[in-house]
Amino acid sequence: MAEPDSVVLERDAVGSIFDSYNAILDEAAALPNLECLVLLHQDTEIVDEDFCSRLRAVIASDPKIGVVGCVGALDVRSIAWWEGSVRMAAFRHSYPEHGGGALDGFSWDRATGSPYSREGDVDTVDGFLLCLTPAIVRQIRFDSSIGTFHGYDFDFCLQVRERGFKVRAAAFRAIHHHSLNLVSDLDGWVEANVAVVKKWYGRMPRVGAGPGRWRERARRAEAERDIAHATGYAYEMDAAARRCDLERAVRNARTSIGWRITAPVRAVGNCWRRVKQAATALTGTTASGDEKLLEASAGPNPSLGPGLGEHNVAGDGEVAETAVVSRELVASRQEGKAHQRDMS
Amino acid sequence: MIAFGCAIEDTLAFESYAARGFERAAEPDSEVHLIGAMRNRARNLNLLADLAAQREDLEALVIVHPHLEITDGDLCQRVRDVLQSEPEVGLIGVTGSIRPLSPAWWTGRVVSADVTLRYQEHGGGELPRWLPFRPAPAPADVDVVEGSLLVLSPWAVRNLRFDESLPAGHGCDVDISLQARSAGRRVRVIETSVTFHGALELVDENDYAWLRAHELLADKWEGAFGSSGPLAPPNWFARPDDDTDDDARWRERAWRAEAEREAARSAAHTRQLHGRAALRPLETELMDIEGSLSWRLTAPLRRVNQWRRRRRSRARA
Repeated sequence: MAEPDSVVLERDAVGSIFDSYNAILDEAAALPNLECLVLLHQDTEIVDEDFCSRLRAVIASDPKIGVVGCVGALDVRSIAWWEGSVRMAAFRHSYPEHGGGALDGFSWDRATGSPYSREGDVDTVDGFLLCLTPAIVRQIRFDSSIGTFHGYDFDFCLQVRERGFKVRAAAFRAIHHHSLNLVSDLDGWVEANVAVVKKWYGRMPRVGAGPGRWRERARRAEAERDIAHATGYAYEMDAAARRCDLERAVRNARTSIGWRITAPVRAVGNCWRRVKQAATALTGTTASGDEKLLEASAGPNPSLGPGLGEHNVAGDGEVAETAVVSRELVASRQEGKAHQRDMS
Repeated sequence: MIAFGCAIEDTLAFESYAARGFERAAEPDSEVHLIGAMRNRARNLNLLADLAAQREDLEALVIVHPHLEITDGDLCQRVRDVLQSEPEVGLIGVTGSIRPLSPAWWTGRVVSADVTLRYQEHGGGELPRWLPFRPAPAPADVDVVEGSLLVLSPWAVRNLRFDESLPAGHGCDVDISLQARSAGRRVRVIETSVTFHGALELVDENDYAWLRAHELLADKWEGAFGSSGPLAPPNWFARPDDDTDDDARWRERAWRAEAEREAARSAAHTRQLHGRAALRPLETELMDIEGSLSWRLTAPLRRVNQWRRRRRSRARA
């Protein structure tokens, strides 16, 4: 997605994410003709081919824009931005567990997006993809007093807004290759949340605010916390019950008379498929990695790994979408190779 | 004499589950107290205790939820053994926890007898009821017991009252356990077996009566057993390093609790995502079978079979 003149600042992580990002900001601040700095997690993949032009258009639309992201929310009162009103979620969460799969944010599909999926100003954007304007790169730094990882994005957006700049959510798309465990290190997350709320309470409207006296709020939140745990346990029970039901259905199907008497038909079919595959392997040439991707996008292939083959599992409607994404990925990889050649 | 009691809200449920358990477990001289359920569970339990207290020879009162079926024919003997050998035991249950952090009993170290959940969702089935809590096996002394089956010793029947100020009686099981503990009595989970016929859900997320009961119980019991007992306040809260005022401590606690709440919600969502993702291979397998040519070809055969089965069951009926 980078342009021929783009500078890529790849750095090994040093200390906390706050320190690592600040080191990159220092370096980027010295770059002449900087239009924007795009900060990515190592597991974030930009999908749109026209990412740079989209970003440029967003930044040009309002000189007060300081930060742009593709996932953002309004009325955010803590680092749990998802508890606010999420306005834009143009991301795909691609996970490796259970054979791999993907979950799409509600703005991922531009054609069928949610009615409340809107580009516009937000309180904060998620930090897996942050685009910073030059003014921000030169004026603001991540506050390492917050912790080591969590909360850096919300705190940074609050700093940006305090300086009078805007935080904008835009509909460019990115894939986050990430575990299904939404928050790693829950204790660290809680500490960071408290630190951010303490820092900004009274400085920024709504942060740390809520109805009732402090004692009432504490008691109610503790009760809601325990109910949330109970809900999690119920989800686990529900999944176990569903598993029993599915296993029973599969077992019944496989042991049914109809399935057993048609076993020879399936055996012949399997034989025929194997012969065809062998014949293809003998006559076909060795495909390049990218060609394999294109081939695989037409049908299930677990070897593709997370982010590519997952939707083949879900059903017919989603297979077509995978094909589109895979082709985009192939195209982007080819383009990336071309850029590498240009740069070298 | 060991008495049994049940507050009946749903007669069919009682006859299908609790009554069967009584038949299995009650002794020839056992009294069975059945009452129509009132809105507040604590009132129901107090009335049952009052009825049982009238008998001088009462050895214990076993109170069960209408959806709970006792599957252990030796329950009375087990109860008698415990109460005779350890008279300081005031309350017995089938599930409980040690040192719960809050009025939600599962926040402690969970201990459970053999408790099965028979559910109706997803085609119905059976699971260990407290599977996600990874409970330690009974028997064990605990601080609180869960109230789907409660055994009250004669002392408890005559000296304790379920707290009727708790909305809908939520948490009155935890409260009576803590009353027993504060009176110096022991609370015990015994080795037995029961089946609970009910839903997979534990608590409705929007049950405001439950939330309010949680708040009231926290106000009533927090710190009552010191810093190492049940419902101990967080150390930093009980013994602040500096001389911060009360309001500032509660503010800190509110922010921390809100953060913990969001973390718990996130963890719950993660469990849901894992659960759904883990089922995908099975769903695919079933879809592959049902979409296969051989499955479709043999569909008429299955229809005929279903028709035969229906006819046979109608004939049997």
